[in-house]
Amino acid sequence: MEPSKFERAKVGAMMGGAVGLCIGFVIGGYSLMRYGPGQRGYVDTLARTMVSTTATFSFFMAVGSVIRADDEGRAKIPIEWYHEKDRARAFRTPPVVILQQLQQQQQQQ
Amino acid sequence: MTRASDHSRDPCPYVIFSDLGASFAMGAIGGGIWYGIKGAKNSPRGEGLQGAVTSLKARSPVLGGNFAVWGGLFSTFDCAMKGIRQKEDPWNSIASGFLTGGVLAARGGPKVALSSAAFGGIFLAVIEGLSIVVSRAFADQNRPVMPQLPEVAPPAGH
Repeated sequence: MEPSKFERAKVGAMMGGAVGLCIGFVIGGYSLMRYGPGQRGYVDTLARTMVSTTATFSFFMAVGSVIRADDEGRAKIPIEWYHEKDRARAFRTPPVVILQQLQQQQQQQ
Repeated sequence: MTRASDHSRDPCPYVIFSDLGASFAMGAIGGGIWYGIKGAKNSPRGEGLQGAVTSLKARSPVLGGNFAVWGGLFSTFDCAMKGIRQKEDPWNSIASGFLTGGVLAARGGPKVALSSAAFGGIFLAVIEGLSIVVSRAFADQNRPVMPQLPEVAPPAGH
């Protein structure tokens, strides 16, 4: 079952949120150590940084995971563009699927 | 994420182009939404749509270009790492992130370049670490199953 676009966006947003949380912690912690907490205090400044990075990353990761579809309809570089020695590496269809297709063809005959 | 067995991605030199295009699309679409909302918000009342379109047209291709430079350079370094080290592990992408950040900020001098490189390395390390954690967490749910090979006679002519 191929996940829908919304499903993929949700997974991407969750993943991006987790990444953004970590990045925000690192970057926010660094800037706190370097420039001090400012007027709001340590916890509030760190929390603000973390929330904004989380929002940014989850938004862009959601967009990215929607457009990066892995399904068969994905636009791919045409195999003719590949150098000859690379063509064998570029499996377009997994071998198991090829076997299944062969089996179906044999059954039809 | 083991990419060695991932046949949905193009093999190495070619993946640079698809990554570059995907990064551009990601930046342009994301930036379109982002700057559309921002432009609408920052416009005076009644001119929201026009402000959104103006800001979107001015900014989102630029953001897409920035994303594309990052993604393309990263992918190039990733492929170079694979070629040099003959291994595929998280260190490849961490090193690529480090190098990408460093190269893109090279004009700012060694200090700026080093901090940008450190940011790139940390960024990719977080992503790789999280993907390991996530794949461990979901490893029990979809444990790899031996695919049942159908019994097929070899195709004629072979």
